[in-house]
Amino acid sequence: MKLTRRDYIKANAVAVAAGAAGLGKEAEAANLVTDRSRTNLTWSKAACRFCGTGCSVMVGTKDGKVVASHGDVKAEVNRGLNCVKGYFLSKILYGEDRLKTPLLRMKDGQYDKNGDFAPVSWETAFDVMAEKFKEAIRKNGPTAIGMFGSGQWTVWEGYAASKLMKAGFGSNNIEPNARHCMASAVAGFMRTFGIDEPMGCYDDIEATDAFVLWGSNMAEMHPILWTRLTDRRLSAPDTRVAVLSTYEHRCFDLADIPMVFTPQTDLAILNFIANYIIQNDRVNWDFVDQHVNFRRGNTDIGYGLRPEHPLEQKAANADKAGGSQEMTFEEFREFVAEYSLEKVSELSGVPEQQLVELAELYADPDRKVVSFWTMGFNQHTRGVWCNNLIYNIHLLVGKIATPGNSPFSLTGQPSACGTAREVGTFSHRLPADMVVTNPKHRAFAEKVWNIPAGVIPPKPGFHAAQHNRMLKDGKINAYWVQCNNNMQAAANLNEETWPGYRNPEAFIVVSDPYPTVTAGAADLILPTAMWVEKEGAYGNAERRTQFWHQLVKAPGESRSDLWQLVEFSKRFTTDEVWPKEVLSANPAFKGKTLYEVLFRNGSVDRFPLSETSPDYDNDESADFGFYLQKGLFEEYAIFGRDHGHDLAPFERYHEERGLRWPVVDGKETRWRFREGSDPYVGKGKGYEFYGKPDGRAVIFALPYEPPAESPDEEYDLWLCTGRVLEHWHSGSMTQRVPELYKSFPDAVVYMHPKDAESRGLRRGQEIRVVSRRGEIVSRVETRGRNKPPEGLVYVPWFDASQLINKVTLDATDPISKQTDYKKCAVKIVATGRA
Amino acid sequence: MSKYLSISSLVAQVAPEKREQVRAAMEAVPYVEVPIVGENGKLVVLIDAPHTRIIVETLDILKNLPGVISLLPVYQHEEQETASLLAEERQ
Repeated sequence: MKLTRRDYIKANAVAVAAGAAGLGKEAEAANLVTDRSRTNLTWSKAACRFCGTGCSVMVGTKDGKVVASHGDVKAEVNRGLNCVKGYFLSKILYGEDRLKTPLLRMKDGQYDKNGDFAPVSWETAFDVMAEKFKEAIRKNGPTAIGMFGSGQWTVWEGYAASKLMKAGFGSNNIEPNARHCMASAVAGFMRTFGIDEPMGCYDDIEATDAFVLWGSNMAEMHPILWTRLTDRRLSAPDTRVAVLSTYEHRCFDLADIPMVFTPQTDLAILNFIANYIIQNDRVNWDFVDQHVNFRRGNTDIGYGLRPEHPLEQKAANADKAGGSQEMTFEEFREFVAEYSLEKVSELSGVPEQQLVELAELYADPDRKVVSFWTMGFNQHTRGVWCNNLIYNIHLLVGKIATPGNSPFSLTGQPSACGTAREVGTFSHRLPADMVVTNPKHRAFAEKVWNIPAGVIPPKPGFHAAQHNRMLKDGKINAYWVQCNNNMQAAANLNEETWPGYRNPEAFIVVSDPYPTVTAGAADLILPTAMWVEKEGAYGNAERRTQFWHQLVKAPGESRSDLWQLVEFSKRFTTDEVWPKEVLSANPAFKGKTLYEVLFRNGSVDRFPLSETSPDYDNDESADFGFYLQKGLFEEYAIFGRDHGHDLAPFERYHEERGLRWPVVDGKETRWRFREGSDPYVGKGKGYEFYGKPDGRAVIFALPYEPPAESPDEEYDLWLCTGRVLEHWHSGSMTQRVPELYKSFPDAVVYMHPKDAESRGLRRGQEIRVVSRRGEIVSRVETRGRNKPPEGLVYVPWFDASQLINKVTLDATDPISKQTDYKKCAVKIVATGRA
Repeated sequence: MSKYLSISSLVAQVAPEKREQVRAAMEAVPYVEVPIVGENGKLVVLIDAPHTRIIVETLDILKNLPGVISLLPVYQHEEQETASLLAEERQ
């Protein structure tokens, strides 16, 4: 029998699936004729482009195009499996409206804010852009420019961007969209442990006896991890799954303890569990005595709105939100005593029996427990408190940093950890958890970067929500958005984002592969290479750093964000941007371009082109004449080595399916803070929370406080926003994959059938969702995957034709500055059309 | 040979005692083959569709067959123009 190419492809597809299913023997018995060379495909590994799970995929290319992909059987994270988004990964590069040339708003051959987009050369694009950035700095100083980047930037893109802004332009106004997604987790880690990111890893899933999901719909948002959790639940029948949410979602199918609570009362439930543990004498005293301090956090801290907002005027500690004072265990016990079973059950709406069952999962000394959370905790005006309070519980019983005992903050974006957090692309951060406010950290960064003292400003820049406010107020005049879709993603579009971007005093640049809503609101659009069109690195939620090679060329004139950042730096000299006194004290730096100072600095450019892989293109390195990604990575790695954040040498990551930092003596670390598994823990210590000077983690006394906005007579429903399985974030990629578009084409309003009925609405009817800030038109959905309780509606935000962030409120956590997308008040009214 | 090459493989988890029933039901769905049936209830499913549009509908049918606990994609391969397809979907 003659086998065709199609037969070989099919046999390969079967063999790969058999590998993922652990059916290797059965595959052998089936006599599959697998010869990958006969498929005419080249296979290479890459990290998935979507969520923070960090699956590894194999990518098949043919004739310069990605045509196939499959889950990577060698990857510990996903073990050959994919979710439906990952399944169609190969198609995200090939949407019909891919941008291929820079586009500038023009009138009569000149840039005009009110002109129409017209194609221009990169030369013209950068000419106009450089002029606008220089003008902004000349007139109003370096705080008049800003950059909004991403947890989807590769590690070296984030590093180059942060360096260009902080060490080049002398501006801390750089933020990642991870501010919308992970900032509360970061601040929670820093407050409790003094060092960012989870102590455990995904191996905890197979090692535990109980899972508690706090505001996390893993079944849809982290489907591969959910599969691992499901496997554990089904294969170890004593395993328990508790799910807490403000509405029922797909995870409830597996829940042993399903709980729907009133929005914001998670704070009270968390304190109830701590109280239960103390009242029932289940405190692990050995652990608490040796490894924990107690502190009382400041209260009445406001809602991160504009300072003139009445809620901010009223708040006693809006300017001291992160403050705290020492306290004793006795005082802590008294503090949580008011969170009684009866009171918390009444406040939250969760039956008493379920609250006790939940508390027992933590209190029972014979049960291991993993807590997972995502945006339900983080997108919360008390998000940092939620993070602190869950650590309180794990610390009280000592269920932490051992296999199966793990408070685990899941991540939304593929490199929210690897890039936004570890590189430190926030307005207050430097790499490896250092901050601009600390003179020693600034001095260290200036030394690594070989720039004069005094270039990095000591004052944090504006945070993400402030970016839009400052654009609107005319305080930021030149602004560069890369790798995100913030017009669609930021809350309160009508009152802040849109007027900010379209302010005549602002020049907005958006780099993107596709004409997103944000690109449409820009003045200059730069076409961007994406995913495997460039060499990349991401870091996932379990501290795993993964690399991939450039596998195909980007279309047309698109260039990677990295190329754009480095090329743009050639347009500036130190004299144009650095303080006069710094230059007169360091005359050797006078007249240099930022390219010379930041990237041709003897460090970033020290690896020759000959070190790039002979098997893959590397368009940026070829253009600049040195191995750019390696130089950036190795310079960046200096910050973390011997500092609790050690990364392996560059090359190793091209061989591995990722490694979890700290990587010390060639070995990755699965559980931090515990002797024997973390090389940073001192001998004989047992546990050591070395992010804190005394090695002790902090249990914080923090109360329930009400949300910024709650339903009332007119706006009588809670609005909660979020994602759906099929689409990732704003849908800028997944909406361009025909199969995914078809699976979930338009956003809908999930509501309780009784809420629909009482408003005279039927399923599928066209409605308006209205808040004090704006409205959208959508349709009623009373069935399906999400089942809100009466009084709450759920609307996904992926749909560019239904911009739900016109409706949301830009209240933020006053400590983390992260927006609460889960709570505001709306009303639903019929449009009068069918 | 169809104009499009659209080949997918998936892993289905089914109740182990129903695996042969589920295999038969799956193989009755157009373009679906079940080349491997594991005793642990894991099935390898292959879809060789004449057009990629069919994949999503096929997945929906397979997912909803009695006895199917989960259906997870593994391999996806397509050689064709995406742009024209999307235009069709949007009409």
